[in-house]
Amino acid sequence: MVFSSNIFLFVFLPVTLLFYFNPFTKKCKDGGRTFKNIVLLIASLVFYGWGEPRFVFIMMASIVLNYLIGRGLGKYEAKSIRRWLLAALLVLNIGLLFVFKYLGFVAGIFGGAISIALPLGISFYTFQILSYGLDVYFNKDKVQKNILLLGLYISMFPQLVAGPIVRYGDVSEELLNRKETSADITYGVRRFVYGLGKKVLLANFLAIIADYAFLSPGTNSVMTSWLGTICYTLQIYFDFSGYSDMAIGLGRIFGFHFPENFDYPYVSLSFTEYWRRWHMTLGSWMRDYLFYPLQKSEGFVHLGGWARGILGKKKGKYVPAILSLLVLWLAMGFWHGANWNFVLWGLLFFVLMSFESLSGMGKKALRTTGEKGFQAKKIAYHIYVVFFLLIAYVLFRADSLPLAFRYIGNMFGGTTNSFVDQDFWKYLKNIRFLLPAAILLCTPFARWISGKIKKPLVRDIGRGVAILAIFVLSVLSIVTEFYNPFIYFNF
Amino acid sequence: MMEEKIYETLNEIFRDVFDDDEIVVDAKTNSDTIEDWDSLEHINLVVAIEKAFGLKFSMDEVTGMKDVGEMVEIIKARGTKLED
Repeated sequence: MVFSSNIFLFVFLPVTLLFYFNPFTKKCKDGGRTFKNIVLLIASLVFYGWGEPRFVFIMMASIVLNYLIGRGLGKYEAKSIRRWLLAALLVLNIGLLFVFKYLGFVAGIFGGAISIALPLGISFYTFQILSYGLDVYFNKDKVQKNILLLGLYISMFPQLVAGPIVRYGDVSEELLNRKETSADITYGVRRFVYGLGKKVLLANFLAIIADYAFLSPGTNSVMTSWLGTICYTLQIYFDFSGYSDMAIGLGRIFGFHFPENFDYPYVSLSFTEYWRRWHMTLGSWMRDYLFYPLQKSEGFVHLGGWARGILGKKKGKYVPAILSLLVLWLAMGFWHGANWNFVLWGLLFFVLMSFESLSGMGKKALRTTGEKGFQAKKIAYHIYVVFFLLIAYVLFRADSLPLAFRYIGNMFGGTTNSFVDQDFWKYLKNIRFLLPAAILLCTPFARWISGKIKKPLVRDIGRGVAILAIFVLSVLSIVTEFYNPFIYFNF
Repeated sequence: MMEEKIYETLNEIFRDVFDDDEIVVDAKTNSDTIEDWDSLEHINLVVAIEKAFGLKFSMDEVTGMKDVGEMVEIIKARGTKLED
């Protein structure tokens, strides 16, 4: 089920809210907490099973098995047993991901052909489960003894299929002790509607042009190619951050505080900064559960000592760090999909991030971000970021690597295609209002405007009108069954 | 072990890892106040501290340490091989 659908907005969500906030729960001994949690769990399973009922059982099996491993980690203190349980945890979860996501790809490399459908959101919920198991292993979090609560954490429908990647520690307290306050509900509704608008009113329209440009890149003119990747870059931001807004908003309505996932990534002046602002929960997950543990592993510490001996202290210390960075970016690429495009996409960021670290440029740019006022170097840094982002998104979006190269070739006039054609003018005319609005809304412009309004009453009325307008327009757009895909459902 | 001594040792480590003899660490020193302290250098720093004090940080501590003050608390709580 998608958030921006009739069935979700007008059937699923109202029914869930009706059960969840029914007045009879006040009579329960625990204030209805158990009842509410069960409502949320059942709703989540229905939500997940709506499109593809079979896959609910895979998720449930994953929850049960991870629950048992967690209980084992809670019970045994002997290091040897814990290590076996850790191995079981990794084999189970990475194995599950491997079978559904990568088996076909690997078979393809060896000339075989296996086709397995990808369960919705498996990359997201597997990472959530892993964070739980690893935190229990590292004694960061207590074992969850109630399987229903662990199941609720994993399957909670607001964040189940496309993040934010909520860590167990983020919500472990709130599973049993949370308050649904009217302030949180108001905020949640507002956040949900903003997200809905980003998705339905911006991303979906930008998608038309992006899809056209990437459909048969062979015939694109130079200008159409640029317009296409610009539209896709904007589309994926509004699509994905809109989804996160909706997830965070829905979570808030039910009393949960999910971590933020986006912080205006496209205003970044370096990729060091960009990856602190884009899909933040994935970046910090990779850092804490892959990048740091890998560098700190015995093998990598030894490697560091050895490299220092050969290259000298200054250069040597970067060897394990850069090698870990390579592993990190390959993992980032593969996480997005079993496809050479994503591998190359990851390698591009590996090169950019290594360059920024080793040259010190990343730090210089970060310092510049903090400085006030207009500066020429800010523009230079920003052009650098936007340029490579547009290239990276071609790799990300194109259907295959040859098509991606062909597309990039077109962008730089490397093919015999014309510089500009009829299609370009037609599409540019179609989005002459949408494009500037979309670019403006990638920046903290709206936040700045609402900060300028000093009178709370005026601000509240303004917000109310804006939310109502966004909601009505979004619903109209959905009801007329406008094109409505969610990009991150595929990961 | 005395806190002073821990800070003294940490100071040496920080100067060595970040290659800057002007660093003076206190409880509030964090990755914002030391420019070179980023995710690429973090583990180098952690491993150097582990070596000097003869202890191992848990993964939780590695990712959770927000400033030098927290580091010192962990080191104090752990007891170390450094002589008083």
